[in-house]
Amino acid sequence: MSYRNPLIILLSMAAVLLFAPVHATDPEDLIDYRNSVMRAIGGHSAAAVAIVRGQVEHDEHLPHHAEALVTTTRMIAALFPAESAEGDTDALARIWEEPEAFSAAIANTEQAAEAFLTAVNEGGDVGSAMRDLGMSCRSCHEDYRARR
Amino acid sequence: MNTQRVVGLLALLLVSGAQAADEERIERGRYLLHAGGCITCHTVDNAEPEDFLAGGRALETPFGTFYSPNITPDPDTGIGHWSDAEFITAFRYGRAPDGKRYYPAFPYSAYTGIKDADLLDLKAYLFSLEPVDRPTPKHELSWFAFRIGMIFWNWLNFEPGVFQPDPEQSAQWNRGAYLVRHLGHCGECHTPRTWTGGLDTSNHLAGNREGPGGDRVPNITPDRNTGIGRWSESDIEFFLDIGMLPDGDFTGGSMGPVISDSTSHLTTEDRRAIAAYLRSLEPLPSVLD
Ligand code: HEC
Ligand code: HEC
Ligand code: HEC
Repeated sequence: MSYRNPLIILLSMAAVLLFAPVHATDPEDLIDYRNSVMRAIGGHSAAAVAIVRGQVEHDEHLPHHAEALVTTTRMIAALFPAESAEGDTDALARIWEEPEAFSAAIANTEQAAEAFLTAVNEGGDVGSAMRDLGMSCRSCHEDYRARR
Repeated sequence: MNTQRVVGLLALLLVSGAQAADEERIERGRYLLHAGGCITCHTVDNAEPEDFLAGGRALETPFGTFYSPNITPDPDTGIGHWSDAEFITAFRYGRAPDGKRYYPAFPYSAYTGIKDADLLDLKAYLFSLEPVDRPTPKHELSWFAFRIGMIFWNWLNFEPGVFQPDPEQSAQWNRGAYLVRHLGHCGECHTPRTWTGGLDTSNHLAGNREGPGGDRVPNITPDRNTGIGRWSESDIEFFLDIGMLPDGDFTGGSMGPVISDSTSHLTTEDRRAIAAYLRSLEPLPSVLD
């Protein structure tokens, strides 16, 4: 087998094409990804709220939304690499200027999502756990997100 | 039972009756403090209990930095010596006890509509607080923002007058109008301003490019495409309760404190009244687009 085998050349070209972008991700892609995850979190929140408020009768879905909220809020910490500070984003520069306070805001939401799941699974006060979770989202959006 | 005892008992009943009446006023005043969103401006960020309503919060505006005054009943550094009439004048006419005109950073052009009885309940509440001895820092304003200028600003942009209910509309609508236009002062952020700094009333609540801290403030008229025309009354009520938009996003910016300090403390009926009023407005295209 010669290393000039056209298949191998083709495959290695494909590999280069496939993996090259990983090394220098476009900041806009990072920002889009961040917003996609945020929208997923928002989707599960809105769905959970509709069930908690009794607007729809899908009580059997509630534990799944609650679990998804735990899983997706744990992703937030990875959504703000320094390269994503500039571009088409509402994220404020403060995020990268005060990393400790920002991490605390993330931890706040992670814990609120866990408490919500516990309330759902163990029959706690689901309404007020949802309110606390919402408060944690709002407080990060208040401090670290602008509408421009 | 001898007469003396009867008299004593009556006096006791009268006193406790008066106390109960006072407590009710204070309770109503506490509610109005939330409806009026006073805490946000008159309390510093990350406040300790002793900072409550003691002022000193820096409010950045295009005219410079204003510092909110101490409104606890401290006689020297707060409003402890104010009479009822002086309190009403501050809100209705934007004038201090010594006659000077307040800057519109104190949103008296909205508060002018608050009823006397509500103002007196607010005062009863404020005077029930522990006085805090804390002088208010001086405003740091640009050269053209001097108090004399307020004469012109007032002349151009300020019409004093208590809220007049519209007899054609329901009680719920009127309650909503009172809360939105006066106590809640929603237009201070959601209505754009004219070049003289007054509210552009032809664009009532149609959005504002220059909200506090440079926020773009959205259109909250019921326009289907650029406003909140697709939100149900219950969507609006729930938003004002916890800050969630119908798509699951959570509000932030300067609306966050409006929810935390103000609308989340209102009764569901009052939030519904706000929603009903907003949905009754003429749909206007957003001024942001
Ligand atoms: C630690 C901070 C932080 C927390 C916690 C947080 N968010 Fe966000 N969120 C942001 C920032 C910053 C943006 C703007 C991102 C951008 O524009 O790049 C955002 C954007 C969003 C968006 C808009 C996405 C888009 O397409 O524009 C939604 C929806 C959202 N968040 C939902 C939530 C919900 C629901 C929660 C709570 C369960 C939450 N967020 C918690 C910081 C946070
Ligand atoms: C948007 C911010 C803001 C809000 C909301 C606000 N205030 Fe103020 N307030 C101010 C500022 C700034 C001043 C000082 C104005 C000046 O010096 O000309 C002030 C002045 C006052 C004064 C006069 C104090 C003095 O020593 O002369 C009183 C009383 C007062 N506010 C009470 C209230 C109450 C009660 C509410 C709620 C119904 C409220 N304020 C809501 C910003 C605000
Ligand atoms: C201090 C300024 C301020 C005041 C006062 C204020 N708002 Fe807001 N409001 C905002 C800002 C800024 C946003 C956008 C926040 C964001 O993008 O996350 C907003 C968003 C909203 C929204 C969501 C609209 C949308 O399409 O996203 C509604 C509804 C709303 N406000 C209603 C009200 C009502 C009702 C009042 C009066 C009780 C009020 N606001 C008072 C600043 C204010």
